[in-house]
Amino acid sequence: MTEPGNTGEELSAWQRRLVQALDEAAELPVDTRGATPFETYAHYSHGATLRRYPPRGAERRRPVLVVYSLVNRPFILDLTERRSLIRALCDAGHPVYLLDWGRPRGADRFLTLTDYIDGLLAGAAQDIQTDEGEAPDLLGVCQGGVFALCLAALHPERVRRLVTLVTPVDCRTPGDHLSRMAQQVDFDRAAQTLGNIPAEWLNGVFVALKPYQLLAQRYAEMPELAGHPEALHDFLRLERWMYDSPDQAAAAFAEFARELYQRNALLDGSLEVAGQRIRLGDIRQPILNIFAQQDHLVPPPAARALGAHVRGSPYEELAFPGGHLGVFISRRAHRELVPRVVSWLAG
Amino acid sequence: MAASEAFDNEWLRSMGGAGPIPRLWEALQADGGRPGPACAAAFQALYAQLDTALIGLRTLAEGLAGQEPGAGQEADPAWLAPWLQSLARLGPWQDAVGRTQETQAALHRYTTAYSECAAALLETVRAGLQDLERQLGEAADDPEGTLPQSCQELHRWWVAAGEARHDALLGSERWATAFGRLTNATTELIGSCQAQLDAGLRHLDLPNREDFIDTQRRLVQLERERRGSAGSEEIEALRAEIARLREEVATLRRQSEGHDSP
Repeated sequence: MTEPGNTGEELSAWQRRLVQALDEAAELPVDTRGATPFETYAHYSHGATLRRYPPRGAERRRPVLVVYSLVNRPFILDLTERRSLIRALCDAGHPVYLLDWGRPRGADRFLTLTDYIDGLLAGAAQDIQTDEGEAPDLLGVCQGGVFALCLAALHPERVRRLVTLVTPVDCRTPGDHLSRMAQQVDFDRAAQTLGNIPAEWLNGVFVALKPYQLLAQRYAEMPELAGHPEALHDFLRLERWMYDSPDQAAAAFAEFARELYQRNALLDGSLEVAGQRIRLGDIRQPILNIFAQQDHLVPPPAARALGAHVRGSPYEELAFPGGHLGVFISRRAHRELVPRVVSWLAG
Repeated sequence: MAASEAFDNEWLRSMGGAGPIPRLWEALQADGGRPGPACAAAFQALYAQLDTALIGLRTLAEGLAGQEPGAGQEADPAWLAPWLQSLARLGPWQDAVGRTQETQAALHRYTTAYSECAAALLETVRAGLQDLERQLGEAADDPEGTLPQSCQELHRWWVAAGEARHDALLGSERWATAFGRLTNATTELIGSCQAQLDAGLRHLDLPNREDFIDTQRRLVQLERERRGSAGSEEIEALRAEIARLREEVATLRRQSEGHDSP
């Protein structure tokens, strides 16, 4: 039992540590380019670029094209040297390409899923194939996983193997709060009225899914990082990543929310991209589907549904004990999950 | 400027007093570390705060119910309302009046939807605190139970209890409806403000939102057409290349056949 009268002392100590942590944070730079050096390999329309991270291992492996979500910036995959999925792939000998979607500008409000998938993504995959002499393996993350699946269905010749990380496929599963909240929103009208959807709005929605943890808990524990510069730096980088989001191109956002979250069109085969229906059953490439067991954004059943619908391809899945972000940044992921991804890609 | 310079003692004291947990912790300490009268009083004070806010929201919602502009209740006497509505749709200012009425109606729907969402959230916060109080009581009654040993630990208990209640709300039909209604009402309100602004700018012969969007749409169309024609030029070039290569292959074959023949 605690001695009465300790309340003031405990709070004072907490406040002193908070002040120290804030002072130390003020001295730390937060670079959002990521930890691994890269070259800008190609410039595409609408501000998109293709980055190339050179292979570092002695053994040369197939190129990997990382397809990230439109919702956040991709530097979460390269947060620090110790926690970098991209670096791990480079170290294994893969030339790694990352399609950076950029930040939509005013006129990009008319960009559709077809522009993103059949235009930018298909173009990047083709450029890699032309220059590397073989089609890349695709590593799709969250919404990027949906895009990767669509590309594999539309242009099978441009994809060798496919890794999907925390990718929503069935948006009608129990516990999918994001999908439930989306059901009665008029996304087309919102896109028409707001133009590109402001990042602050989306960030607000994501934070509102876990407000106690992401607001009350996260900052209340910040003082614990005082005197631990590396941990504080990681905290600040993650903090920057969480809120350094691009606006969403209006038409593509409305299309994605309506077709996937309201109509579940990827699952039932009615999603159309470039005038063609995306049928998961048509995909023939080997697939490694990774989901997080405590994912509150893409619940496990939402991701695992892929397995029941890709009957034509060799399919494996990996369950990771952690949350949505844990798949990229947790120590456990880098110790256990990433080596398995690297090993699967070598197959 | 260092944080220690920016935040003086007064700020630190106010930070310490902010939020429900330091107050609850102080009460728990006053009760000797086990929930007692001080703790119960602290919880009651928090419930009272939340109840006051909830009553305010419910009063607002009840006041707004059935009073949507255009429904006629704001006219005095009420029987004049339909005539006034009709009159407003006549004459040279009917568009402007119509836009104003739409904005009023949108604002009304937004306020209603907002109060509905806020009430749902406040009820959840209250339920989370009630759970925390119950859990503290159960831990105190359980001979093997352990109570929070620090303010930080109590904070974690509160986060877990509050988040669980919040999670339950997110999974409910009530929240899906309230959230959808608020989002749509916000869109509608912004849209009606845009319409007002657009009309004003048009009268001043200044470019408005519609003009910008129209320009952007044409720009995107032009880009798509350019990419399409660039693609077809590339295909034409490839076709020509294939034809040339076929011809070359045919020539080589003929030459080779010439060599092979005796």
